[in-house]
Order: sequence, then C-alpha cells, then structure tokens
Amino acid sequence: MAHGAAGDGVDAGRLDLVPMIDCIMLLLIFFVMTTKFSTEEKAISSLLPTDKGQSGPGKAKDIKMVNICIYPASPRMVKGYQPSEYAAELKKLTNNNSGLVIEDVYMRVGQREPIQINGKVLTKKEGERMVAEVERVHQYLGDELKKFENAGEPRNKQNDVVIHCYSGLSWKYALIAYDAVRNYEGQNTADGFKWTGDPRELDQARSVNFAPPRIRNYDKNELGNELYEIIHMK
Amino acid sequence: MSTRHHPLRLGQQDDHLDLVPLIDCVFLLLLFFMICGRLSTSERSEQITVPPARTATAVDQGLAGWRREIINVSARPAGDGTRGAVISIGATEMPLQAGGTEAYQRLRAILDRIYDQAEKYDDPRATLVKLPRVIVEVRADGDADYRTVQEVQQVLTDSLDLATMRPRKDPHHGRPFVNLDFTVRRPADKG
Repeated sequence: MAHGAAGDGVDAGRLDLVPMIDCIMLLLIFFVMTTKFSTEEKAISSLLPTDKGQSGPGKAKDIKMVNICIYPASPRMVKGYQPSEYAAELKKLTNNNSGLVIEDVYMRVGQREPIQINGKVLTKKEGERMVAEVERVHQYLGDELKKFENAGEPRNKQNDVVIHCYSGLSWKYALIAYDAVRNYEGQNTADGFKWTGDPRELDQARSVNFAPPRIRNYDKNELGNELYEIIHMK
Repeated sequence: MSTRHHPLRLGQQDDHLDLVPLIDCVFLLLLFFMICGRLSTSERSEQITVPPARTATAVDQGLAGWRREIINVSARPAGDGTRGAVISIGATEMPLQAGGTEAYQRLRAILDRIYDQAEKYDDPRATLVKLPRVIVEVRADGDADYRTVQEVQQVLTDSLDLATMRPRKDPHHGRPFVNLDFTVRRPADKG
C-alpha cells in the first residue's frame, strides 16, 4: 500500500511535474500560434464631404481650390497632347496594359513645375531612402501650399485642397499627398490645426479631399481622357 | 564517509531528470508570449502593407460614444496578370471583378445595416443628414489601385446609385459615413 501511494504521485519526496509541464507546453503552443507581433497601427484621419451634388443656396459656385495632380511620369506626359496620345503612352508604360505597375509619377500643384516621385523607394525595406523621399514630397507640397495662403483666414476658410490622382496608380501616391497637406496644416501654419482625436474636429481644419472618379469604364480611350484632364488641370 | 556517499547520490539523480531548469525556461517563454504578443482579431489579422505617413497618430480604440468599423482593401493579383483587389469588412470578403459592381453593392448593404444600428448626430455642415457615430478605418494596401480606394470612399459617402454607378440625385437622403481613418505607418517604423 505504502509503495502504491508513493508510485502514484510522490516518489521519494518528489512532485510529479509531468502533467504540469504538459499543460504549460500546451499553453505555450497556444500563445506561440495565436499571438502576432506587429507595430501598433496608426492612422491619418479624414472627413469625407456630405454635399456631393449639392446645388442651390449655401454653396458658393466659385469655390477656389488648390489642385494636386498625380499622374505617370514620362516625357510625353506633359501638356499639349491629345487623349489618344496619352493612352498610347500609357500603354507603353504599362507594357501593353499587362498590369505592369507604374512606379515613377509626377506630382504637381496647380500649374507649378512637377516633382518626380520614385514609388519603388516608398517601401518598408528602403528605410532611410523612403524617409528621405517622404520628406522631399512634404517639402515640395509645403513650399507650394504657402503660395496659395489666404492671409488672415482661419484654416477652415483656406482654399480647399483636392487631390486628383490617376486612377491606375497605387493608393500610396494619393495618400502621401494627403499626408503632406495635413502635415503642412499642422506644423507650418501659425494657427496650425491640432488634432485631438475627435473626428468632428476636422470641421475646423482645412478641407482636403480626394477627387471622385472621373471614369468608370477603364478602356484605353477613357484612360486617355482621364490623363488628359489631370495633366491639363489648373 | 562523504566521499563514498557522493557517487551514489549522483547515480540516483540519473534516474530522475532535473526538470526545474526546463520549467524555468518554459515559464519565461510563456510569460514573454503572454505579455509581448497580442491576440489577433479577425479584421486586423490580414497582412496589409499600408502606406507611410508622417502625420500618423495611434488609433484611438476607446473614443467614447464612437464605434469603429474596419474595411480592408488588399491588393491581390488577378488571374489575368493585372492587379486585383479584395475588399473585406468583418468576416465578409468581396473580390473585385473587373468592371463589376457586385462587391460595392455588397459593401453598401453591410454599411446600411451598420448605419441603421449606429447612434446618429446632425451633420455640422447643415446638410440635414444624420451622421452615424462610426469611424470607418480603411486599411488599404499601399499598392492597391487608387481607383479601388476612390470607389470605396464613394460607397461610404453613399453618393452613388450603385445600380448605375452614377452620382445619386438625392445626396441628402443617403446613409453616409464621413469619419474615416486611413491606416498608415510612420516612415521610420520598422515593423
């Protein structure tokens, strides 16, 4: 009897740790499999318009806007060509519309000189080069936006900023422009808008929007028309 | 005496492995994963490479009175060699078909349900629209086509008649979501 009791759980003064190790191993496997190591997600806020298509009293017909245009970079992606010529150039840039991603883009404010952005650099693995490219875009847009300041007006009375990005480009180009405008509003203005987290506070900030789609039929001719409009935007 | 007993004790220990160091290590590992790891929730579990932005702020999960809804827009190659996209909200995945509008219609149907359940407030821009106290977080892949994110914004503001994909004639009778967070990362973030 005495021998049996010792064999079941206690062996010469030792605890049987095997069941506990089993449980701990199971817990460990659970946590190893289900946990994910990721950086805390961050966000940039936006307030979408609710007055699309609105007409009548209360809406000024001559709203002044600052247009930021983003389109593929190429020597032929400049003013002076016809939509069909832009379409042909686009076909060349995308390797006969085979889905090749356009990485080099022009970004332009109003009718100012554009800068060329290298999209390949805007990836995580590029590290310092990406930081420098983001900084360059912010610097350009900040300098240009200063020229469109309405002195003495509060931030929400400044000219609206509208981002016109060619629909076939990557989302990151439009977002980097949005980020640069918000950065300019927050840091480079005397009464810069300070965001505390309440979405409704964006009513006090300058209106920055993404232009609605120009086309929904993405055939060659329509894409040429879209490019023509963006490249000739004032 | 002691020199004669010592080899005997060593021999006895060979029968019972000393598990204490192993348990120590396993406990340390367990603590590490419990404290440092975060359980992934379904909406954020999708690996999306969001674009960089300097003005990024930490997502405020606990803004009083506000709900958060997450829309993922992931770039996935379509079968024909072009860039495709999949829109997902909650557990519902909606692959985008070239030229198709079904994904947007399904997204709008889900958004309508969220709108109906949400608490509302008056649009401060005096458009007579009731706005939901919902922040929509758009987790769009930096390499997703801009046109996809553009259309998702149109669907969110309910400014489209999705049957014809033309702007609605009665924009003030829609169910718009206007408070958006675009998920981004800081350029210097390593993760």
